[in-house]
Amino acid sequence: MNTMLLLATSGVEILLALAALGLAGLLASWGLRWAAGLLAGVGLLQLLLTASGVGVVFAGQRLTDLLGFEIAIWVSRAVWTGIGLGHALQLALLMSAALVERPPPGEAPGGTFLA
Amino acid sequence: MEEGAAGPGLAPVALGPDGGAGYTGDLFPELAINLGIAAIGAAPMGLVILVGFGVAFALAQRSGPAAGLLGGGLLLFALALAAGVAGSLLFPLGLELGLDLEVIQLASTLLFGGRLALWSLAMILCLAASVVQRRPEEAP
Repeated sequence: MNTMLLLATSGVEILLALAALGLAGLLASWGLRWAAGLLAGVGLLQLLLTASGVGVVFAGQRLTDLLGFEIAIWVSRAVWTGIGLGHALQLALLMSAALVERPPPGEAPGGTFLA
Repeated sequence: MEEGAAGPGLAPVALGPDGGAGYTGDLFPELAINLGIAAIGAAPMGLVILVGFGVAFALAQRSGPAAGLLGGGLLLFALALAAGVAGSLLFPLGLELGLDLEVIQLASTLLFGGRLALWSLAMILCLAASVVQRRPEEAP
């Protein structure tokens, strides 16, 4: 059950990351390079967080064998806390991407943040 | 130590904060540890969500749909966050209250699935908010 849950979660997260990367490409093609870069950051960070979650699950037993139960649990807790912090950073990047404005004609391409 | 709930295998680690990893049978230390860890993970997210509502308000001047999508996404993120914190308390409290382990695990799985659905929908709304009404206007 847990493995199924993990696979379902990872699958959805990977799809979301791919969606973010695809939308980043779309924004780049519309000339909003700053927004595209921020969205690409969201997608890449999502992949990293998914990999960390999957890694700590599948390494759980090995970590326990190597470090002992108490330390392995704390390592697991630290990784999950890091994943929580990563999600906060991800949301901040996502909101920043929504704020990027198209530059006025004649100015450098990329975009400016909403004043 | 309860089999499955606190064992060193995949179950507690797989579910992370929801799994109640390391439950030793002492309610208050476990509750405090789980709540503390959930708070460390959730506090920055909560802060970003609060800032996000200000961002959505600023965005409303440029694009109503984008602001609505962002606001809706942030609400769903907040709900998902609350579900995560509730999940972190589920194992210690459930075992202390004498609930059957299978019932607790079922509740944990449902909570985890619900959180995943909320999180995914929130992410989709926020992604849409960053794209909607951004297409450059066609030259006449």
